[in-house]
Order: sequence, then structure tokens, then C-alpha cells
Amino acid sequence: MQQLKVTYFAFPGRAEPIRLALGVGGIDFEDCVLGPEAWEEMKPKVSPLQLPLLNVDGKTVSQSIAINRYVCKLAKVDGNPLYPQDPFEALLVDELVDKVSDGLDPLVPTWDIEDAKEREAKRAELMVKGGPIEKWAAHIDGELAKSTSGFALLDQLTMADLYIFTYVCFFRSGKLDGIPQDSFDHLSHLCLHREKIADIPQVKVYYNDKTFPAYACFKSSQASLH
Amino acid sequence: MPVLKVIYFPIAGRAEPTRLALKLGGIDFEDSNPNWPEMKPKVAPLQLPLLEVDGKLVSQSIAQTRYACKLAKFEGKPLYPEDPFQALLVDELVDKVGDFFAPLIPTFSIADQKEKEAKRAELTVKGGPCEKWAANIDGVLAKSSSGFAVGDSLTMADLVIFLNINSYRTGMLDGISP
Repeated sequence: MQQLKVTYFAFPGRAEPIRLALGVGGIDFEDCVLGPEAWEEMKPKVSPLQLPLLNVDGKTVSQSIAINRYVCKLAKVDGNPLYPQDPFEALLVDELVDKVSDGLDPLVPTWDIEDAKEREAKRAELMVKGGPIEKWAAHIDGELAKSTSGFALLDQLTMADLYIFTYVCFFRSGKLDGIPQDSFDHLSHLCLHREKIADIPQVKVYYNDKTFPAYACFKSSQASLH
Repeated sequence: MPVLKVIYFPIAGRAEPTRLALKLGGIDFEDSNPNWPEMKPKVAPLQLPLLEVDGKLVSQSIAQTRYACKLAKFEGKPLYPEDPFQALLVDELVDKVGDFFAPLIPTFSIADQKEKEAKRAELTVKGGPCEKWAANIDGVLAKSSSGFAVGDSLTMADLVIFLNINSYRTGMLDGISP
């Protein structure tokens, strides 16, 4: 098996589906967590590459979705790889993943807003009903509504579920100023999906020991394993 | 082989890598230019291009191209590698081309010609948001012994680099000289 190292920040952002896929697939990896200062030091050496980075047997690869697709080919849950081998099934997964990934884009410029009030006001605009992020979430909610199994696609856990789960939980973490934890409570299929994925045994085990505060909403609301 | 229809404007744009992959693979498809103002409300919020596969409409151009490249073989080899690590290298390059192009997108809606060209000049100057990605991709190509972007045969990465970076060397975009 390849030697894998994931390099990213501590918070559950664009590397979270990668870490989760490896975790639920039972694949060993080195989780290299960087603080902001360490990244500022590393940045010029790898520019224009951004985090997350994946190191595979010594070779550094960038681009979070590309990395995710790769690890989801390696990771199996209940015998099924998280990324389908059938090209059409994979197409449906790729389509939904690209849609979900676009959800973070309106948020990215707000990181650079220095003034807290201004930043919160800008984010509130994004989250209001009909705003770019709320519209994105409502669309994903609508896609989930089409499923009878509760999984996003193909009635089994796929890369698409991991993306939806981690991105929705990131928005609900309460760690993004100006984005309340109950932001998506009005979208019932998103809420049900979060519960469903969090309750999967391998997912529950993965988040069980995570103490970083942003991870609280990733955990199952059912009783802990211990 | 599924019945395929590529639905897009009559320009190269975001559908061209898919069209090219299918052509190279000798795969039949219908090349459809819809009445978009009429179609748009029926498929919202999906955007063009759309790929219809046995009657099912799928959006997201890169997902469509990857699918076409899995079906299409060129000189016996699929345009999208079956080996996961080789596929990772292809996907990484394709996404880098996306990062190259992203800063250009807002410039298409700048009405004032001088302003548009000035903005594009900023992006393509050495070290600028677009140029830095083109330079990085150039560096990847420099390391290739085959001349192909990944491995030793034509892949999705070659098609996307060819169509989405090299096409701008024709001077087709105002403000971006060959």
C-alpha cells in the first residue's frame, strides 16, 4: 500500500472529505496539520499550489477534488469503493461533487475581510434565503430529496455523501463568524443526511476522538461508543 | 455505447474537451445547439454544457469530459487512465487549468473594452493570477519525457491544456496577445 500524507490546516475545510474517506476506508495515513505560520513559511516554496496537499510515496500532489477522487478509489466501505468504477455512476458522483464543492466559493473572499462586523454582514448576505450559499444548500437538499435510501446517489455511501456531509457540517460548526449553527435547519433532507452519515459506524468511530471544537457537529447525536 | 448528446452554444468553450474526446474515441454523439433562453428555465439551476446520456441530463463540464475520456480510446488507450495514481495526476492538471482560467471569467462581463484589456493584462503578467498557473503547468510539461502531460500517451490533461490554455495563444481573447 502507498505511503500517504495529507497536509492541511486543523479545521475541517477542503481536506475533510479526504481525511474522512481515508478514515472510513481504514487506510493509514500521516495527518500533517499546519498552523497558519507554518503555512506562510511553506507557501512560497510550493506556490501556486494551495493546501490540501497529498504526498504519495514521496510525490506531492495538489487539488483537493483530484486528491479526494484518488483516495475514494482506494477506500472501500462495506466492500464498495467510495468512487464508483462504472463510468456513468462515476459521472453522477462527479457532477454532484463539483456542485457541492462550488458551495465554498462565495465564502472564500470573506476570509480576507479584516473588519469583523463587515465580514459578518457579508456572510449574512450569502446565507439569507435566496443568497448564493442558501441557494446552493437548497439545491443540494433538492437532490437528496430524490433519494429513497437517504444516500446521495446509488443507494450506497459515495464520495458525494462525504462532500455533502463535511461541507454542511463545516457551515454548521459555529466556528464561522456570521454563520449561525442553525443556518440549514429549514432544509430537512440536508438535516436527515447529516444524521445518517454521522451515524454510520465507521464515521462515528472516526469523529469519536476528535476534540478540536469545530468537529462537534460532525459527531453522531446518538450515544458515543464508549 | 450509450446514446450521447452534447448540448451547448455553437462555440468551443466548455464543451470542446468533451466533443474532442468523443471524436478521438470514434464515439457517435449528437452535437446540439439549443435555444438557451427557452431551455434555461426548464433545467435551472443547471448551466450549459449539458450532456444527455441515454436521455438523462447531466451538468458540470469537467465531469462530462472525464466520463467521455473513460469511454474514449485513442490508439488503444483510454483517454482517462485506469490506474488511480495516473488518474490523480491527470485530475490535478485539469483542475490546475481550471485555476488558470478562473480569474478570466469575471473579465468576460466587463463592458468597457479598455478596462477589459487592462484587467486581462494584469492577470497574464508574469507572476499574475493566470500566468503563475500557466508557468506551473509549463513546468510539469517540461518534466515529461514523452511530451504528453501525464505518462506516455494522450490523456484528458492534454486535451484540456490544448483547448483551454493554448487556444488563447491565437489572440482570440481581447487583451491576451499570443
